[in-house]
Amino acid sequence: MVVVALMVVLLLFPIVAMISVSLKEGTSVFTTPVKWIPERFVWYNYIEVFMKMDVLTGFKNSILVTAGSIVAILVIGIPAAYALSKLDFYGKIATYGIVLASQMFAPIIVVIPLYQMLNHWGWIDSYIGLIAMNTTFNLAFIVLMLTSHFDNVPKETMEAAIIDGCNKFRTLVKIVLPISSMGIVVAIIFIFTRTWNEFLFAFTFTSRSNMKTIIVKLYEILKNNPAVGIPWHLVMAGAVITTIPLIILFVSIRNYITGDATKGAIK
Amino acid sequence: MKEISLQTKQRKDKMLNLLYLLPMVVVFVVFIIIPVVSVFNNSFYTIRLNGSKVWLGLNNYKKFIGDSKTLLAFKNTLIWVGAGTLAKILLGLLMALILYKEFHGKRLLTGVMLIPYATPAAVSCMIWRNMYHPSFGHIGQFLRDIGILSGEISFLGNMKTSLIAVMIVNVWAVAPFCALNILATLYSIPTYLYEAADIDGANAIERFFAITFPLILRDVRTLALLIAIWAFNSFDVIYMMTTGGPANSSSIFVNLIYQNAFEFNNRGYSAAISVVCFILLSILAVFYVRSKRKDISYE
Repeated sequence: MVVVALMVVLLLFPIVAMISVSLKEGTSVFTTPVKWIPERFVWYNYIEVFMKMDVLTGFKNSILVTAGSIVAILVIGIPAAYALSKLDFYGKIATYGIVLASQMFAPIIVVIPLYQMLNHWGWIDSYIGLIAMNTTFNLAFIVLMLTSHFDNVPKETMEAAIIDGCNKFRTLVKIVLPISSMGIVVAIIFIFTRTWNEFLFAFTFTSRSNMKTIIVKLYEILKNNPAVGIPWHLVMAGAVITTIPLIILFVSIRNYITGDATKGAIK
Repeated sequence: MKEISLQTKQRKDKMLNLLYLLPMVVVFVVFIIIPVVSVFNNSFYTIRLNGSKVWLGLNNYKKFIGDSKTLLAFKNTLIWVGAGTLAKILLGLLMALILYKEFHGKRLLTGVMLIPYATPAAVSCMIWRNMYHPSFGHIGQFLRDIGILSGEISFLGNMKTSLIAVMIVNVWAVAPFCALNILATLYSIPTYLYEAADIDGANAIERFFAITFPLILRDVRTLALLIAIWAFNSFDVIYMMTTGGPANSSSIFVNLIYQNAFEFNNRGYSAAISVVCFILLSILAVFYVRSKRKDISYE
């Protein structure tokens, strides 16, 4: 029991620190000794940072980029995973290898050519640019995850559908997708998390304030203040606001993902 | 005659099925393969701000080998990837073994484990930067309270501690994820093996090394490779914590790529570092793909 308690403390103390600082008064952030419980709970910090960070614009941008990426990845990834799992085609093993390997390539390695390319197309400071980037660098992971879910659909079910006159595409829509609906949900959650949290492209491929995602807006409160004068109480309040959608999502679906977490990546 | 037409139909099917993969292939070609080729190409040039290129041959690579920052970044990458992965896997294994047993609040704890993983990197960096603050941070205060520390330490601003301090943040974020994966592997071990061991009178440690460890080894190795690859690529955590500083003391290779490209405007040189990273990653990728191919069975 002691071990379990220790584990909870180690996992959660940064979260507690975040909430604690987010409720402190601006002046008491800079006093020693550091206290865990604020003397006075200043809920106003949240309202102040809500304006300062322009949370509404940040949320709007993050939601649009995330939703766009979810749609794009599913539209591109579901047929690919279906082919990898159920269909016969030339170069299957090679394709599988390419998908696996492309999981490795970090965006940072190709960020410059991508910047030049997107700049040339006028995709800098645009939703389509960020959606394209998030789609590219999450696609392999999601395809592998969906492939392993589709593998669980019994071949007999599909054969029955084909005998009933369904073509391959209809079989995918009518049989495979409904059976794998849980896998699709898990995939959506993963895309959501990874896109919502994405920093490199959101940071380097946007310059106009009205196009920045919530993550970048949070980082900028810290970056735009001199090191000695960082308003920690506001930064932490902003951090809480940024995290809330994810915490709600994860806690509500925790039972589905614990086993599935990286089905595609590991097995 | 009929047999031939069946064969042609199958062949036609095999071609038509490629259509399902086409969109994915297009995305990979346009946004990964073409940029990778262009990085290789750029690494042989010096690129001016107006976009004009001057051929340099291998000079960017020669500069990379001779640069004093390279050795430091190499050392840091080794520590960050090697020691970091080891710490994440060992802590993950420990947590998975704790979670494997039945106890009250197990479901809640499993939910709690997801929090560090779900927390955006930007958010955990903000939190930890605040906690590491020399005078107003919780960590310094805690160390002073229990008497380990007397004065103030700037964990992130000190060349000796900056890399370790950022590593702790990364381990905190990733170890629970490893734990959940290892836990799933633990559940796949048939329980009768443990029952047999109990009959033979094996104690917990013997059981672990005789049954659990050999059976999870393959999966854990695949996980470790994936975690190592992620660590190699994790530019954002280091950038947001220290921007690689002070004096590059917490920079790994990917930080040099960013620094040269966006801060020093040395795009050709940055491309040469990217190529080196690409080659190192390919080696890891080969091991990862091979490790994944081998399927295991416990029977």
